[in-house]
Amino acid sequence: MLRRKAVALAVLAVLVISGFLYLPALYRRVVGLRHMPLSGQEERRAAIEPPISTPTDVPSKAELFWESKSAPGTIIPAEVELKLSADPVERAKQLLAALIAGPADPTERTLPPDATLEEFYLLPEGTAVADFSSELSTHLPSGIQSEEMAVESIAGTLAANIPDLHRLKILIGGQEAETLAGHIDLTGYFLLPPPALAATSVSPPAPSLPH
Amino acid sequence: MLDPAHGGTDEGAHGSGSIVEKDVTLVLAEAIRARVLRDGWQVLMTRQGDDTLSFAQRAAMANAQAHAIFLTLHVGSSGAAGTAYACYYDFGQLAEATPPVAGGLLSWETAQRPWEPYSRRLAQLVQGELATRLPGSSEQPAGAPLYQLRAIDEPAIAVELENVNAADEGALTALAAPLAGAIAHALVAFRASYAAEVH
Ligand SMILES: [Zn+2]
Repeated sequence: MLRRKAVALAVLAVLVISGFLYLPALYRRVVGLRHMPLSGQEERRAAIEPPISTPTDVPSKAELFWESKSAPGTIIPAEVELKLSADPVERAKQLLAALIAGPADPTERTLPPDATLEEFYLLPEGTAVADFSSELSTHLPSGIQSEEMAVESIAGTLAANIPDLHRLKILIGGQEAETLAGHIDLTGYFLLPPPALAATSVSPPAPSLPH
Repeated sequence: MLDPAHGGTDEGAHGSGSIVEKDVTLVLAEAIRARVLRDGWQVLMTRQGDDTLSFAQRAAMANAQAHAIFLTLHVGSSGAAGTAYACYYDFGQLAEATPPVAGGLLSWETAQRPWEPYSRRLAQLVQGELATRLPGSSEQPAGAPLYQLRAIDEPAIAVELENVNAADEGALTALAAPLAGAIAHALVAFRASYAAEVH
């Protein structure tokens, strides 16, 4: 018994010592990573690529909705290469992260860059619940048109890339909010796909996901 | 009933310069009031100074007036400069358009629902006039779930002028006359059909 205890202690001591020896090397690597310069191309990919990845991710052509440059105040779909999960909840998180990361041209963005998707739930019968951080509300330019564009870009992006979604509830900081930023009503469920965007989609509705 | 949106502690949208939405909406409302008085309307305003008013207070003021029309004025943060758009509450954008009503209570929050066709028509008339007077404005009004309009128990629309990022307030208040003209013309056209159907 004593002997077994001694062996265990010795193993533990070796582990602790090797851990201490490895620490400076690890630190150097972390610091190195932090200072590694990104090329312009890599920066863009880093911005647009969702930080969430799952084993079922496959490169896909996603349709993300941002503000139209030629018709300000309206949103249009843009085709973006993204690695998307087959799992609809993960897929929704990846899509919304890319939507927030924004288009190459920042004047076309519809959501504040520092907003985050806190949680995403998929309820039975195609109800999506997207819970955003409070920045979505506090840092969004206030106004009827700008808030409507924000909601439509979220609703349009989800509906275009995830099959069988029928309605969307938007929460802010885990709570139901009266309005997004003072104007658009968040107390109800938005229909998916958004009726206003029915005519603007560049491709047919999202294909069924592999099961 | 004219409603200069925001006011008091609710400043509304802030522009990249010094423009604050609540100040501009008041100037616009005064101009519209002066213009529509000439057509024989009785005009009430939800605020004439820098007052803080809740959506419910504004709705109560509007709903207390029989046979009224509610018009709220906003200045947005986006959209092409110098354009404006009229908006009605579009219940069609929401799932479950008819929420369950318990115990025979009428929902304060959905008072606008039966008025939606009238509000849409008024928004169409206003938008048609805006398209000719403020170039670049859409021909069609916007249907959007604007929270403020939900509880209004009469025809109700919002008009949003674009936008607060103008160089100075004068660039926006210069648009008050064409905006007032558009609204005045649309209201006269609306009155004829509305009076025949409702009263
Ligand atoms: Zn406003």
